[in-house]
Amino acid sequence: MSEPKVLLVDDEEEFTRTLAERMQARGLEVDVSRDGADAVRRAQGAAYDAVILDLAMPGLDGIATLKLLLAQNPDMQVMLLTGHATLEKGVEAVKSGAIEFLEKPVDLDLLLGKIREARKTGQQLREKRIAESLDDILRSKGW
Amino acid sequence: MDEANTERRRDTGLAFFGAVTAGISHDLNNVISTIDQVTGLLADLVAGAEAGRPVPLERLQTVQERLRRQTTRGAGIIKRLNTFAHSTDELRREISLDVLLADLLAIGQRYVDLRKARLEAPAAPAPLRIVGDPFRLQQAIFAALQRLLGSAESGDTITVALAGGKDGAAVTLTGPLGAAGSDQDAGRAQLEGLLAGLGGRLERSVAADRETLVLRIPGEPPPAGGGAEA
Repeated sequence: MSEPKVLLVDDEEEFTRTLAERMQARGLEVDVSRDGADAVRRAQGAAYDAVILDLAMPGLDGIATLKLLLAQNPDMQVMLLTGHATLEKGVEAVKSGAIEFLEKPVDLDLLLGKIREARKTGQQLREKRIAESLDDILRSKGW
Repeated sequence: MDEANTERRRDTGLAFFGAVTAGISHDLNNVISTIDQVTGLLADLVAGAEAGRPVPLERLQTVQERLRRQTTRGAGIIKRLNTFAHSTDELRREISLDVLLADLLAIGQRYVDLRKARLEAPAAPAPLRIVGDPFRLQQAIFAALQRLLGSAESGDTITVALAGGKDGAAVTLTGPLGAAGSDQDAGRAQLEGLLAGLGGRLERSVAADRETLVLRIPGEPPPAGGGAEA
């Protein structure tokens, strides 16, 4: 099985570049966005196993970006990775559909574990939706 | 000043202190998180070398340069935090206004970036020293900046200029005009109150959808021989 494909979204250029390099060295396919609007454009039609979002970004913040990503693709697995980890923000992120709310600095092995879990969950959701669609077709056609 | 006014002033001062230090802690966390990743990258390279994959010299130089940039950035942030924290030490002291403004705008840059706006603040033509309350002064300038930022959109510019005179100084901020409303009125009243507390005043003008706020700050020049700086 190929390694996961990830979108990193953070305006901290050096942080993102270094994290991306370390992930790529481990075989992951990594794209990088500097802001939420660009992330939403990139995610359109792209098959990311996980999107990792900063909370405080220029323009669209992490929560607004999260909502737009999920409106575009409800099965998208989105994690917040932030230096603003308050309980309030964590609750808001999870209520808005984030699968994780992680605090910077983050351990890479922990993050990679979360990404692999996200990929598994995403695959299960896609398989479930395909099964539901097939079921609908079979029921509506009365075969 | 009555008790309610004193209490209100203390509350807005604390809120300002909290907002600034929260922003600085976020900036510092970004520096630490980046250093954490760069040292992780270095550990990856060491592990690779131990496994027989030599590390090219330029790769190590890149890592060294990243660490240097982040430590320089972190040192600047801590220096500004320290200066800001000590601005509460005395109610009246000699202030290098040009230095205070440059430090405060460096702290405020993060909020400008979040709005995708631009800050233009030409360096003061000459050092400008007055005697006054550095903390309240920063609070007033920051409140004016936040007021203009509240209406800023991507690409908007906020300009900040400093000028001195015989009986004090003027900080002039120009930026997008906000929609009229109770929030705008309350913000203006707060700014006027802060400047009144400093013995100064606010002058406001509007032209072509841009608002100009002139913060008139009284302050006698420092005594000969100088003293502590903000």
